Amino acid sequence: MGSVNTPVLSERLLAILDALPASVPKDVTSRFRQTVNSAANILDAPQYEHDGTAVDLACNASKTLFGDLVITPDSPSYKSAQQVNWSMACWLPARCIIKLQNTVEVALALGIINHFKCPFAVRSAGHQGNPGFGSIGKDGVLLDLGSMNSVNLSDDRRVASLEPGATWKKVYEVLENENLNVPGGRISEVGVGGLILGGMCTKYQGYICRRLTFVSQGACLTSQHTGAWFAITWRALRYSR
Amino acid sequence: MTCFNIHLGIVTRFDLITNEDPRLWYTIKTYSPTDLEAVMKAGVAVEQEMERDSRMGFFLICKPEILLACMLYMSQAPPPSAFGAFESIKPVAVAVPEHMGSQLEFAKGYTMESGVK
Repeated sequence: MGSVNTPVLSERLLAILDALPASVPKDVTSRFRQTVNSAANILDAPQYEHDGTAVDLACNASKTLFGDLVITPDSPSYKSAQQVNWSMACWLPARCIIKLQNTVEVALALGIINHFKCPFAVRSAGHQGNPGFGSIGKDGVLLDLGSMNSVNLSDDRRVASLEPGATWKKVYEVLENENLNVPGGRISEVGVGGLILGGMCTKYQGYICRRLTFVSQGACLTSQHTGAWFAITWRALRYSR
Repeated sequence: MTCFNIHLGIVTRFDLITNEDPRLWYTIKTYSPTDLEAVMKAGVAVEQEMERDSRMGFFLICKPEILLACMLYMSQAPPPSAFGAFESIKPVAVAVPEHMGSQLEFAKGYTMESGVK
Protein backbone atom coordinates (compact mmCIF):
# COMPACT_ATOMS: atom_id res chain seq x y z
CA MET A 1 0.00 0.00 0.00
CA GLY A 2 1.32 3.44 -0.83
CA SER A 3 1.59 6.38 1.48
CA VAL A 4 -0.71 9.40 1.52
CA ASN A 5 1.71 11.31 -0.64
CA THR A 6 2.72 8.52 -3.04
CA PRO A 7 -0.21 6.30 -3.91
CA VAL A 8 0.48 3.05 -5.67
CA LEU A 9 -0.95 2.61 -9.13
CA SER A 10 -4.06 0.69 -8.14
CA GLU A 11 -4.95 3.33 -5.55
CA ARG A 12 -4.48 6.04 -8.14
CA LEU A 13 -6.70 4.25 -10.65
CA LEU A 14 -9.43 3.60 -8.08
CA ALA A 15 -9.35 7.29 -7.11
CA ILE A 16 -9.79 8.22 -10.77
CA LEU A 17 -12.81 5.91 -11.05
CA ASP A 18 -14.31 7.38 -7.88
CA ALA A 19 -13.90 10.92 -9.21
CA LEU A 20 -15.64 10.35 -12.54
CA PRO A 21 -18.92 12.23 -12.99
CA ALA A 22 -22.23 10.52 -12.25
CA SER A 23 -23.09 10.56 -15.95
CA VAL A 24 -20.47 7.87 -16.68
CA PRO A 25 -22.16 4.44 -16.98
CA LYS A 26 -21.82 2.49 -13.75
CA ASP A 27 -21.26 -0.83 -15.51
CA VAL A 28 -18.11 0.53 -17.18
CA THR A 29 -16.62 1.90 -13.95
CA SER A 30 -17.61 -1.29 -12.08
CA ARG A 31 -15.86 -3.47 -14.61
CA PHE A 32 -12.65 -1.50 -14.32
CA ARG A 33 -12.89 -1.30 -10.55
CA GLN A 34 -13.09 -5.09 -10.48
CA THR A 35 -10.12 -5.43 -12.85
CA VAL A 36 -7.99 -3.01 -10.83
CA ASN A 37 -8.79 -4.76 -7.56
CA SER A 38 -8.12 -8.24 -8.92
CA ALA A 39 -4.87 -7.18 -10.60
CA ALA A 40 -3.61 -4.88 -7.85
CA ASN A 41 -0.65 -7.13 -7.07
CA ILE A 42 0.50 -6.97 -10.68
CA LEU A 43 -0.20 -3.24 -11.12
CA ASP A 44 1.55 -2.26 -7.88
CA ALA A 45 4.53 -4.59 -8.14
CA PRO A 46 6.93 -2.83 -10.53
CA GLN A 47 9.75 -0.84 -9.02
CA TYR A 48 10.92 1.73 -11.54
CA GLU A 49 14.62 1.29 -10.85
CA HIS A 50 14.64 -2.45 -11.36
CA ASP A 51 11.86 -3.47 -13.70
CA GLY A 52 12.29 -1.46 -16.84
CA THR A 53 11.89 1.97 -18.28
CA ALA A 54 8.91 4.19 -17.55
CA VAL A 55 7.34 3.49 -20.92
CA ASP A 56 7.78 -0.28 -20.50
CA LEU A 57 6.06 -0.11 -17.13
CA ALA A 58 3.26 2.04 -18.51
CA CYS A 59 2.68 -0.34 -21.43
CA ASN A 60 2.73 -3.41 -19.17
CA ALA A 61 0.26 -1.81 -16.73
CA SER A 62 -1.96 -0.78 -19.65
CA LYS A 63 -1.87 -4.33 -20.99
CA THR A 64 -2.98 -5.61 -17.57
CA LEU A 65 -5.87 -3.16 -17.47
CA PHE A 66 -6.95 -2.93 -21.12
CA GLY A 67 -5.94 -6.33 -22.51
CA ASP A 68 -6.18 -6.56 -26.30
CA LEU A 69 -6.74 -2.84 -26.67
CA VAL A 70 -2.99 -2.45 -26.15
CA ILE A 71 -0.98 -3.12 -29.31
CA THR A 72 2.75 -3.74 -29.02
CA PRO A 73 5.37 -4.14 -31.76
CA ASP A 74 5.07 -7.92 -31.59
CA SER A 75 1.32 -7.79 -32.29
CA PRO A 76 0.14 -8.73 -35.83
CA SER A 77 -1.94 -5.54 -35.93
CA TYR A 78 0.89 -3.21 -34.88
CA LYS A 79 1.89 -2.19 -38.41
CA SER A 80 -1.63 -1.23 -39.46
CA ALA A 81 -2.18 0.63 -36.18
CA GLN A 82 1.10 2.48 -36.66
CA GLN A 83 0.28 3.42 -40.26
CA VAL A 84 -3.10 5.05 -39.60
CA ASN A 85 -1.39 8.41 -39.92
CA TRP A 86 -1.76 10.14 -43.28
CA SER A 87 1.91 11.13 -43.40
CA MET A 88 4.58 8.44 -43.55
CA ALA A 89 6.80 10.74 -41.49
CA CYS A 90 4.42 9.99 -38.60
CA TRP A 91 4.73 6.20 -38.77
CA LEU A 92 6.80 6.24 -35.61
CA PRO A 93 7.61 3.13 -33.52
CA ALA A 94 5.56 3.82 -30.39
CA ARG A 95 6.38 1.43 -27.55
CA CYS A 96 2.68 0.58 -27.43
CA ILE A 97 -0.53 1.87 -28.96
CA ILE A 98 -3.67 1.92 -26.81
CA LYS A 99 -6.96 1.97 -28.72
CA LEU A 100 -9.20 3.76 -26.24
CA GLN A 101 -12.95 3.27 -26.47
CA ASN A 102 -14.46 5.78 -24.03
CA THR A 103 -13.82 8.55 -21.52
CA VAL A 104 -13.24 6.14 -18.64
CA GLU A 105 -10.43 4.43 -20.53
CA VAL A 106 -8.91 7.81 -21.42
CA ALA A 107 -8.91 8.80 -17.74
CA LEU A 108 -7.35 5.50 -16.66
CA ALA A 109 -4.73 5.57 -19.42
CA LEU A 110 -3.73 9.09 -18.40
CA GLY A 111 -3.58 7.90 -14.80
CA ILE A 112 -1.09 5.19 -15.78
CA ILE A 113 0.99 7.56 -17.87
CA ASN A 114 1.07 10.16 -15.10
CA HIS A 115 2.03 7.52 -12.55
CA PHE A 116 5.06 6.40 -14.52
CA LYS A 117 5.77 9.85 -15.98
CA CYS A 118 6.30 8.56 -19.49
CA PRO A 119 5.95 10.54 -22.73
CA PHE A 120 2.80 10.08 -24.77
CA ALA A 121 0.99 11.36 -27.83
CA VAL A 122 -2.69 11.46 -28.76
CA ARG A 123 -4.08 10.62 -32.19
CA SER A 124 -7.63 11.07 -33.48
CA ALA A 125 -7.79 10.45 -37.26
CA GLY A 126 -4.06 10.95 -37.76
CA HIS A 127 -4.11 13.72 -40.32
CA GLN A 128 -1.36 15.78 -38.67
CA GLY A 129 1.71 15.71 -40.92
CA ASN A 130 4.39 16.61 -38.37
CA PRO A 131 6.18 13.74 -36.56
CA GLY A 132 5.54 13.76 -32.82
CA PHE A 133 2.04 15.19 -33.16
CA GLY A 134 -0.41 12.29 -33.16
CA SER A 135 2.62 9.97 -33.19
CA ILE A 136 5.53 9.11 -30.92
CA GLY A 137 8.66 7.01 -31.03
CA LYS A 138 9.85 4.00 -29.04
CA ASP A 139 10.10 5.97 -25.82
CA GLY A 140 6.43 6.81 -25.63
CA VAL A 141 2.84 5.59 -25.58
CA LEU A 142 0.40 6.45 -28.38
CA LEU A 143 -3.19 6.98 -27.25
CA ASP A 144 -5.39 6.23 -30.25
CA LEU A 145 -8.86 7.83 -30.12
CA GLY A 146 -9.93 6.49 -33.52
CA SER A 147 -12.53 4.21 -31.95
CA MET A 148 -14.11 7.15 -30.11
CA ASN A 149 -15.98 8.34 -33.18
CA SER A 150 -19.65 8.73 -32.30
CA VAL A 151 -21.84 11.58 -33.57
CA ASN A 152 -24.97 12.26 -31.50
CA LEU A 153 -27.72 14.88 -31.56
CA SER A 154 -29.40 16.44 -28.55
CA ASP A 155 -33.13 15.83 -28.19
CA ASP A 156 -33.87 19.36 -29.39
CA ARG A 157 -31.46 18.90 -32.36
CA ARG A 158 -29.64 22.10 -31.46
CA VAL A 159 -26.37 20.52 -30.36
CA ALA A 160 -24.29 17.85 -32.07
CA SER A 161 -21.89 15.99 -29.77
CA LEU A 162 -18.84 14.64 -31.57
CA GLU A 163 -16.14 12.34 -30.29
CA PRO A 164 -12.59 13.19 -31.37
CA GLY A 165 -12.01 10.13 -33.56
CA ALA A 166 -14.92 10.87 -35.88
CA THR A 167 -14.07 12.08 -39.37
CA TRP A 168 -15.86 15.04 -40.89
CA LYS A 169 -17.27 12.66 -43.52
CA LYS A 170 -19.06 10.75 -40.78
CA VAL A 171 -20.21 13.96 -39.09
CA TYR A 172 -21.72 15.35 -42.29
CA GLU A 173 -23.32 12.00 -43.24
CA VAL A 174 -25.05 11.66 -39.88
CA LEU A 175 -26.19 15.26 -39.70
CA GLU A 176 -27.33 15.59 -43.30
CA ASN A 177 -29.62 12.62 -42.72
CA GLU A 178 -31.26 14.91 -40.17
CA ASN A 179 -31.19 17.92 -42.51
CA LEU A 180 -28.62 19.63 -40.30
CA ASN A 181 -24.97 20.57 -40.46
CA VAL A 182 -22.21 22.12 -38.38
CA PRO A 183 -19.12 24.13 -39.35
CA GLY A 184 -16.32 21.71 -40.04
CA GLY A 185 -13.43 20.56 -42.18
CA ARG A 186 -13.21 20.66 -45.95
CA ILE A 187 -11.42 17.31 -46.33
CA SER A 188 -13.65 14.36 -45.51
CA GLU A 189 -11.01 12.13 -43.89
CA VAL A 190 -9.72 14.71 -41.41
CA GLY A 191 -10.62 14.00 -37.79
CA VAL A 192 -12.76 16.13 -35.54
CA GLY A 193 -10.20 16.35 -32.73
CA GLY A 194 -7.29 17.66 -34.74
CA LEU A 195 -9.23 20.28 -36.70
CA ILE A 196 -11.09 21.77 -33.77
CA LEU A 197 -8.14 21.84 -31.38
CA GLY A 198 -5.69 22.80 -34.12
CA GLY A 199 -7.24 26.20 -34.58
CA MET A 200 -10.86 26.11 -33.53
CA CYS A 201 -11.86 27.79 -36.81
CA THR A 202 -13.09 26.52 -40.11
CA LYS A 203 -13.59 27.86 -43.60
CA TYR A 204 -16.51 29.75 -42.12
CA GLN A 205 -16.01 32.69 -39.85
CA GLY A 206 -15.79 32.08 -36.15
CA TYR A 207 -15.23 29.23 -33.79
CA ILE A 208 -16.61 25.79 -34.47
CA CYS A 209 -17.20 24.49 -31.05
CA ARG A 210 -19.52 25.47 -28.21
CA ARG A 211 -18.31 23.21 -25.43
CA LEU A 212 -15.56 20.69 -24.71
CA THR A 213 -15.40 17.78 -22.36
CA PHE A 214 -11.84 16.84 -21.55
CA VAL A 215 -9.90 14.65 -19.18
CA SER A 216 -6.93 16.08 -17.29
CA GLN A 217 -5.00 14.34 -14.57
CA GLY A 218 -7.84 11.84 -14.38
CA ALA A 219 -10.46 14.56 -13.76
CA CYS A 220 -13.29 14.97 -16.25
CA LEU A 221 -13.99 18.64 -16.96
CA THR A 222 -16.19 20.68 -19.26
CA SER A 223 -16.01 24.19 -20.62
CA GLN A 224 -19.15 26.03 -21.54
CA HIS A 225 -18.22 28.31 -24.43
CA THR A 226 -15.19 28.44 -26.67
CA GLY A 227 -15.17 32.19 -26.45
CA ALA A 228 -13.56 31.43 -23.10
CA TRP A 229 -10.64 29.58 -24.72
CA PHE A 230 -8.15 31.11 -22.32
CA ALA A 231 -10.39 30.22 -19.41
CA ILE A 232 -10.30 26.63 -20.58
CA THR A 233 -6.52 26.74 -20.70
CA TRP A 234 -6.30 28.32 -17.26
CA ARG A 235 -8.72 25.82 -15.77
CA ALA A 236 -6.82 22.92 -17.27
CA LEU A 237 -3.56 24.32 -15.92
CA ARG A 238 -5.12 24.30 -12.48
CA TYR A 239 -5.60 20.56 -12.75
CA SER A 240 -2.33 19.70 -14.43
CA ARG A 241 1.30 19.91 -13.55
CA MET B 1 -5.04 19.68 -25.99
CA THR B 2 -1.71 21.37 -25.40
CA CYS B 3 -0.38 24.76 -24.41
CA PHE B 4 3.28 25.59 -25.06
CA ASN B 5 3.88 21.89 -25.76
CA ILE B 6 2.46 20.92 -22.36
CA HIS B 7 -0.33 18.36 -22.41
CA LEU B 8 -3.28 19.93 -20.60
CA GLY B 9 -5.82 17.22 -21.15
CA ILE B 10 -7.48 15.00 -23.71
CA VAL B 11 -10.76 16.22 -25.15
CA THR B 12 -13.29 13.40 -25.31
CA ARG B 13 -16.33 15.29 -26.58
CA PHE B 14 -17.04 18.39 -28.66
CA ASP B 15 -20.50 20.01 -28.56
CA LEU B 16 -21.32 22.06 -31.64
CA ILE B 17 -24.36 24.22 -32.38
CA THR B 18 -26.22 22.83 -35.39
CA ASN B 19 -27.42 24.75 -38.42
CA GLU B 20 -30.87 23.79 -39.68
CA ASP B 21 -30.10 24.43 -43.33
CA PRO B 22 -27.37 22.06 -44.52
CA ARG B 23 -27.10 23.54 -48.00
CA LEU B 24 -23.78 24.92 -49.17
CA TRP B 25 -23.16 27.11 -52.21
CA TYR B 26 -19.68 26.80 -53.63
CA THR B 27 -17.49 27.25 -56.64
CA ILE B 28 -13.82 26.69 -57.37
CA LYS B 29 -12.00 28.89 -59.87
CA THR B 30 -8.44 28.76 -61.08
CA TYR B 31 -6.37 31.82 -61.94
CA SER B 32 -3.08 32.41 -63.71
CA PRO B 33 0.05 33.06 -61.58
CA THR B 34 0.52 36.20 -63.64
CA ASP B 35 -2.56 37.57 -61.84
CA LEU B 36 -1.06 36.83 -58.43
CA GLU B 37 -1.09 40.40 -57.20
CA ALA B 38 -4.72 40.97 -58.21
CA VAL B 39 -5.79 37.61 -56.76
CA MET B 40 -4.06 38.30 -53.45
CA LYS B 41 -5.69 41.73 -53.20
CA ALA B 42 -9.08 40.18 -53.97
CA GLY B 43 -8.40 37.52 -51.32
CA VAL B 44 -7.71 40.22 -48.74
CA ALA B 45 -10.94 42.00 -49.70
CA VAL B 46 -12.90 38.75 -49.32
CA GLU B 47 -11.35 38.11 -45.90
CA GLN B 48 -12.38 41.60 -44.82
CA GLU B 49 -15.91 40.98 -46.08
CA MET B 50 -15.95 37.75 -44.04
CA GLU B 51 -15.63 39.91 -40.92
CA ARG B 52 -19.09 41.26 -41.75
CA ASP B 53 -20.72 38.15 -43.18
CA SER B 54 -20.42 35.01 -41.09
CA ARG B 55 -21.90 32.80 -43.82
CA MET B 56 -18.90 33.23 -46.10
CA GLY B 57 -16.13 30.72 -46.48
CA PHE B 58 -12.98 31.07 -48.58
CA PHE B 59 -9.56 29.54 -49.11
CA LEU B 60 -6.85 30.22 -51.64
CA ILE B 61 -4.16 27.76 -52.73
CA CYS B 62 -1.13 29.20 -54.48
CA LYS B 63 1.09 26.94 -56.52
CA PRO B 64 3.77 27.99 -59.02
CA GLU B 65 1.62 26.84 -61.90
CA ILE B 66 -1.88 27.80 -60.74
CA LEU B 67 -3.89 29.76 -58.19
CA LEU B 68 -7.02 28.05 -56.89
CA ALA B 69 -9.75 30.03 -55.17
CA CYS B 70 -12.59 28.24 -53.43
CA MET B 71 -15.61 30.31 -52.49
CA LEU B 72 -18.31 28.99 -50.17
CA TYR B 73 -21.52 30.36 -48.73
CA MET B 74 -23.81 28.76 -46.19
CA SER B 75 -27.40 27.92 -47.01
CA GLN B 76 -28.01 30.27 -49.96
CA ALA B 77 -26.39 31.95 -52.94
CA PRO B 78 -24.04 34.74 -51.85
CA PRO B 79 -24.80 38.43 -52.31
CA PRO B 80 -22.64 40.29 -54.87
CA SER B 81 -20.66 41.94 -52.08
CA ALA B 82 -19.34 38.59 -50.86
CA PHE B 83 -16.93 37.62 -53.64
CA GLY B 84 -17.30 40.69 -55.85
CA ALA B 85 -13.59 41.41 -55.49
CA PHE B 86 -12.89 38.53 -57.87
CA GLU B 87 -15.29 39.70 -60.59
CA SER B 88 -12.70 41.79 -62.39
CA ILE B 89 -10.15 38.94 -62.62
CA LYS B 90 -10.60 36.52 -65.52
CA PRO B 91 -10.20 32.90 -64.36
CA VAL B 92 -8.16 30.45 -66.38
CA ALA B 93 -10.88 27.90 -65.76
CA VAL B 94 -13.88 27.22 -63.53
CA ALA B 95 -12.96 23.94 -61.90
CA VAL B 96 -16.34 23.64 -60.19
CA PRO B 97 -19.20 25.81 -61.49
CA GLU B 98 -21.37 27.65 -59.00
CA HIS B 99 -23.37 25.01 -57.30
CA MET B 100 -25.82 24.60 -54.43
CA GLY B 101 -24.84 21.38 -52.74
CA SER B 102 -23.89 20.30 -49.24
CA GLN B 103 -20.84 20.17 -47.00
CA LEU B 104 -20.66 16.39 -47.40
CA GLU B 105 -20.71 16.63 -51.16
CA PHE B 106 -18.06 19.35 -51.11
CA ALA B 107 -15.80 17.52 -48.67
CA LYS B 108 -15.96 14.28 -50.65
CA GLY B 109 -15.42 16.02 -53.97
CA TYR B 110 -12.60 18.21 -52.70
CA THR B 111 -10.86 15.24 -51.10
CA MET B 112 -10.97 13.28 -54.37
CA GLU B 113 -9.91 16.18 -56.61
CA SER B 114 -7.08 17.31 -54.37
CA GLY B 115 -5.82 13.76 -53.97
CA VAL B 116 -5.56 14.20 -50.24
CA LYS B 117 -6.13 10.95 -48.35
